Amino acid sequence: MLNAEGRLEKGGYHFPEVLNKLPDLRLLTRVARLYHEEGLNQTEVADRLGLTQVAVSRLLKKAEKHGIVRTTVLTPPGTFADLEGLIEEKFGLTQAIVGDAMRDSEEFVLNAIGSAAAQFIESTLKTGEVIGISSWSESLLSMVEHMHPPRKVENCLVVQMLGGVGNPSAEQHANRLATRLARLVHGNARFLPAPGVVGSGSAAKVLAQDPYVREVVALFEKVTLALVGVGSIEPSALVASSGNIFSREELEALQRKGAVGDICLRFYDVNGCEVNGAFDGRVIGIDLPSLRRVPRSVALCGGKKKFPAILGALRGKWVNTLITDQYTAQRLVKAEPAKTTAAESTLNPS
Amino acid sequence: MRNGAQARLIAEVARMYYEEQRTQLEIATSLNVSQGTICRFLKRAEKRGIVRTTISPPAGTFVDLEELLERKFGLSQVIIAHAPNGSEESMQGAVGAAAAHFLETSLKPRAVIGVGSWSASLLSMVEQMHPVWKVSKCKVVQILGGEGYPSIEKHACYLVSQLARLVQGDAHLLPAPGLVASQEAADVMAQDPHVRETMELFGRITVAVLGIGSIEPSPRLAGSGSTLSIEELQSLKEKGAVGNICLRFYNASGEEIRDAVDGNRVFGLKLERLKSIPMVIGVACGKRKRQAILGALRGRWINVLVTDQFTAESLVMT
Repeated sequence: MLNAEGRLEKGGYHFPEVLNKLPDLRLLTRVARLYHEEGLNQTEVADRLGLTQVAVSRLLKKAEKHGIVRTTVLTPPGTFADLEGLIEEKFGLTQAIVGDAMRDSEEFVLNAIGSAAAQFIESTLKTGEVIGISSWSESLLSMVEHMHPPRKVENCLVVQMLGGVGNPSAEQHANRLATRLARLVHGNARFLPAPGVVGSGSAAKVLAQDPYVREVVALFEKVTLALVGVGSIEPSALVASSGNIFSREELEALQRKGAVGDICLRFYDVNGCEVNGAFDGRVIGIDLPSLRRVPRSVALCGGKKKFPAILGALRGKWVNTLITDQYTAQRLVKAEPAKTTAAESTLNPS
Repeated sequence: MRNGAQARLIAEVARMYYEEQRTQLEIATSLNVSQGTICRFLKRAEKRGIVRTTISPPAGTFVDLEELLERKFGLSQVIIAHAPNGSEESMQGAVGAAAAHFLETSLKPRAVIGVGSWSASLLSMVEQMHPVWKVSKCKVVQILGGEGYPSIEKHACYLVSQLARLVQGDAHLLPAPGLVASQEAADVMAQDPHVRETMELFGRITVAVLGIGSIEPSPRLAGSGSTLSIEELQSLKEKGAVGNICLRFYNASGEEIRDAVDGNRVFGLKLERLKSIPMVIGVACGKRKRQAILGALRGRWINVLVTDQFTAESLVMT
């Protein structure tokens, strides 16, 4: 690294190009966040991070150029009051919230749901709530991306209600919803340190004995607000993302039994009745009856592909609040409510 | 009803502008209104709070985790570097680069930088640091002796003089061992004019950069011969030592353990002195160091932590 005169030679240390830029990106993100989300002014940001105000101003401009700063548009509340009312009545929901998607395509629907959910949380979250989340969901991710830290809310706890699914790569760690949400609500996160599905029932039992796992599972019944995505059964996608813990055969067997979707890897049919399958006893996470006992259980979901899964979730009354987009809402208005209430038949396991 | 329709139109215009990134003129043309109207709508959208600015953290940054740890341990800053994998080498490289960047961006003119000398993370830091031109009249002060173990001595000297070069400042070395045999030996050492000069600067340090050591000797230390006697190590373990900063040991809640090692044997900055330094940066990573880092955080011996995402995750779980 040093040349004959003891001066530093340029490029003496070989480090991958991308990683060299990360410290810069990191600082941009911190600065942008304090300014845009926490509402600090430039001088305050400078004091907080030990920078000069000139540097802060420069970094803010850079953040915009790098696309770290995004401007999103919220749906004015009540835009779809009629649709919301119809769905609430039809499916017996406490609340339905319909966001405004510009088009009926995945990207726009996610945006609409995310921003509607962000507004919902910001305006209704109370101090001391225990928020349970399903471990991975694009809708939940969209929500945290739209969210600003609600003012005057403290001491919330974010609990992961399903073990990890997929490869725990660094990137997934980074995006861990629990962490992001915990920061937003000025609270702490409790991770479920286990995979979402394990290889066998006996492995699941062993894990259930683990003190850390037990501690987090014990928190499930304290959850006051559950935020879950709804999954449709797509064997190819699930197999790919789960690191082969699911086999295609198992998923196809579930499909043959009529499964249309899942919440936290608990599968149900189009009427919302739970479907038993190969995963029974192997899932480490909240079950559907426990989810139903949560005071506010909220499904964030929308889109054509997921419609049967959404319908099943509502018919089964596994959640009492729905956040969706207007296209999905219109489909729900046209659909039949449950014929047989699957809910009652499975409600009392004891 | 009319109000609702207008609210919706405003939201629609805002969405076309911000989310689809169309120009005001394009939107005006497609909705068949004037550009002035579009401009007015956009202003109204902002005023009604239906437009909001959010930040999406780029991959490889861990700002959420940083803020969580800051709050959890009452730190003024946490910097989490992206380590490509969980190996010690990869973490050290990443953490060193992040610490270097942090120092480059936060250094003020006339800073007096205290440097702990026995740390691989700090070595990684200076190896990756760029020269800082905008500051002047900085001093770099070695706060723990490094003589006696050839490999450490060389590193300490390199660390301090290289950092001084990078910040265009003066290097103040502490030409003494980190551990001396006895109180008497320490007194003799302290008479040395170079040593005295450096030690007189301890009280003026504005930024301290330190490694955090576990109780298990690091490969670097083990390679250079044990520094503490077996009895001392045993006694430290019995008293619950989990880590050390500049060879001053502390337990899991961060309280200093004073009587296991004769305190006067350690030649360097005292732990409680850290509390009066405005910025104390701890640079550390790795599973081996988890307890040591936790102790340092609980004892509030540092107020800035530089680490990697794997270590950070394990800290947030506690």
